[in-house]
Amino acid sequence: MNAFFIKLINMSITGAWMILAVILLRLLLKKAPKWLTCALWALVAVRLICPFSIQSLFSLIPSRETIPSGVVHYSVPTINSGVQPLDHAFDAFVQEVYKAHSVEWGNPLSEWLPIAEIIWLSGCLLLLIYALISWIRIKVLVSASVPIRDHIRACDEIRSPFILGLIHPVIYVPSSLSERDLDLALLHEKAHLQRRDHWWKPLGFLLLMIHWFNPLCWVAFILLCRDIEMACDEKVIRKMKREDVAAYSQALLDCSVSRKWISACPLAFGENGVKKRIRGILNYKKPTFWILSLSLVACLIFTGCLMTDPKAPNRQLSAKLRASMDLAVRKHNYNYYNDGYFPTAAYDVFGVERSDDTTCVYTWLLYEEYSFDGTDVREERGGSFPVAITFHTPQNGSDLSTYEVIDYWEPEDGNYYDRSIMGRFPKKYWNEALAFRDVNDLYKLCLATAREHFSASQNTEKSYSDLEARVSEQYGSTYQYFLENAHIYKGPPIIYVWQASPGEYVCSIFRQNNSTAFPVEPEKTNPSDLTLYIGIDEAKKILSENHLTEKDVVIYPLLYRYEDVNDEEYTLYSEHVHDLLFGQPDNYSNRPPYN
Amino acid sequence: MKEFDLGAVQERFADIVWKHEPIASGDLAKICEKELNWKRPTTYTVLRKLCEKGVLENRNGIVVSLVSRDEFYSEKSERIVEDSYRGSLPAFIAAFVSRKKLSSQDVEEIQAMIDSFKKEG
Repeated sequence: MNAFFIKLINMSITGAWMILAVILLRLLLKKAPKWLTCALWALVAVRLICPFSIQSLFSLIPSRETIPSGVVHYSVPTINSGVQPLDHAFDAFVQEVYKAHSVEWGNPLSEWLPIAEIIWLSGCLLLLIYALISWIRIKVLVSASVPIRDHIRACDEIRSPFILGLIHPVIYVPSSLSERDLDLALLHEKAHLQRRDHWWKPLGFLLLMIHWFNPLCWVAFILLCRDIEMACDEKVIRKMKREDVAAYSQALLDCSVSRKWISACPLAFGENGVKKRIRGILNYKKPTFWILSLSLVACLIFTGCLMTDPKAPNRQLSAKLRASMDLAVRKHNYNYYNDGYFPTAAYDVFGVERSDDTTCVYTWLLYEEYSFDGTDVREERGGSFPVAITFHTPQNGSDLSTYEVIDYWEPEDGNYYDRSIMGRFPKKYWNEALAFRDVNDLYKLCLATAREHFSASQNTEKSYSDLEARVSEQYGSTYQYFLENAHIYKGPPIIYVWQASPGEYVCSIFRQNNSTAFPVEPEKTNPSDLTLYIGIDEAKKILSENHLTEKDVVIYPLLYRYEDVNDEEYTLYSEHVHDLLFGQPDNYSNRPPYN
Repeated sequence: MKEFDLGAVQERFADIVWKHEPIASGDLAKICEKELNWKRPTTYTVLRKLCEKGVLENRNGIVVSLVSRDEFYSEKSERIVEDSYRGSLPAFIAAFVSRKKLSSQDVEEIQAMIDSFKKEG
């Protein structure tokens, strides 16, 4: 309910901006036909009732979410009106209110909002009851009426002709109307029917029932009613001769007057509606082509600028920015966890703020490290919270693969969590940064990445039988020789890395048993001393499980093209194998990639 | 005191009574329903109003007129229509005229506007 109510208030505020624009536009469009103005009000109505809207660059609406949907959870209520002075004024006001309360006060909105909702509902109901009662009263009044023409009935008790009924509308006229006045009044009522005003007016009132708390909506409704009447008048007199126009005005006057109703006191607000109408009728001139075209153009521009919402912040990460984020996140978090787990990260970006020197990404971060237990991945460590990472904006022509990190910001713990976020993040992101978040989608992404990573190595392991067959074929007698005689070698543990092709490796790790004599039949060798035909990743795992670093083992990389390989190429290959086994995940060394 | 100010609707009703009198109120209601599409309460309300004005009388369920049709029309003078509807129309009704009252000054001004418009043409 809270979310709905706040959305309603925000829609009303957006509508209010639009109504202000229409009021201004109306002044400009004084010479334009009134049906155009009615169309503008129709657009306002759409805005007030439709929760969806498209975004555009041309939007003049200051903000689509003046009251943040999560404002109840903020430590201090604030607004995001898009107009700086308004925001500052509100914040200052809130400060004053808080000062008056000596005790540490939380956000009172969580209590006040339900009260406001009840008040709003009561207002709606009151207006609804008023509408129902008025309608019933009128219906009873005109029940004593006699038909005089098709769908037209005369009644003694009414003063002005009007239309009643939505689906089968009936025109009621005062029985005292002269024949001439009657014909003219009927022209007006029929124009109402043709324009479907007997639908628009009640619809407008319905909107007013919902948005009753917005004073601009009342202004809009009053102006709408006036514009509808004038549009009807224009429709009637458009093709009338001069004397008929005079007669029409006279009929209007006659209907407004009755001897018993003439009062001595002047009217409450300014000029009387009838006077304005008659003046408008008598001064009516058919709008010229230019006025019509200009007015249409003005209305189209208005539609573009006010029916659309301002663009939401940029949430896209370029590939480079994404890579930079991944690197920064890994560097920041992976330092703490040295267990060789596979790190993953997923983001829900709030926005990217760019300037000449810096690019700052405000995002929700889900960081997860996984291990592999043979069948499936296992979540080992992780964290989920908003972060703000600032990079150096790269200069033109720079070909860095990733951006340089200037600052990596995380929220503070415990009670200071909310406040630290509000201190660091721009206001427009508070809503998302502080809201309760369902990270299921992000979690699935991390899981998928981890599974893909481990299954890649697993698949390789599963097909090791044919890989091993290939290695055996490629290395031929050399392969067999090393396998049979490796146990002779005395020294630190040795890893043979056989390259089947670039990227495909078979490893064999031999632990050293100093008691092994020379020569020893291969069958007598303890199988646990050998680890044959494993992949790079499993080799790494064994090394880390046994806390073996680069200094503890001897690596023996083998290239089947041994005879064709020159020293330099072999050195590169050796270094690459070293990197594969002992390199850190973020080791971006300057060595050229081995291929 | 008899009032001869009748609106067109009330006149129509009186015509029905004059045509069919003396008539039971129930039968009168039936005729009104047939000819005018009136519900019972409507018929009885209008009947009550005309009885108050002294034009008709409801004697124990039988309706008769106290003024004959000829008498009524011979005495009919220039009628000043009685505006019995004190309220104003609801805002959501499409009407010919708005509900605001006009001051006598306004009436004069507007009439002057119309008159000068007619002269110009």
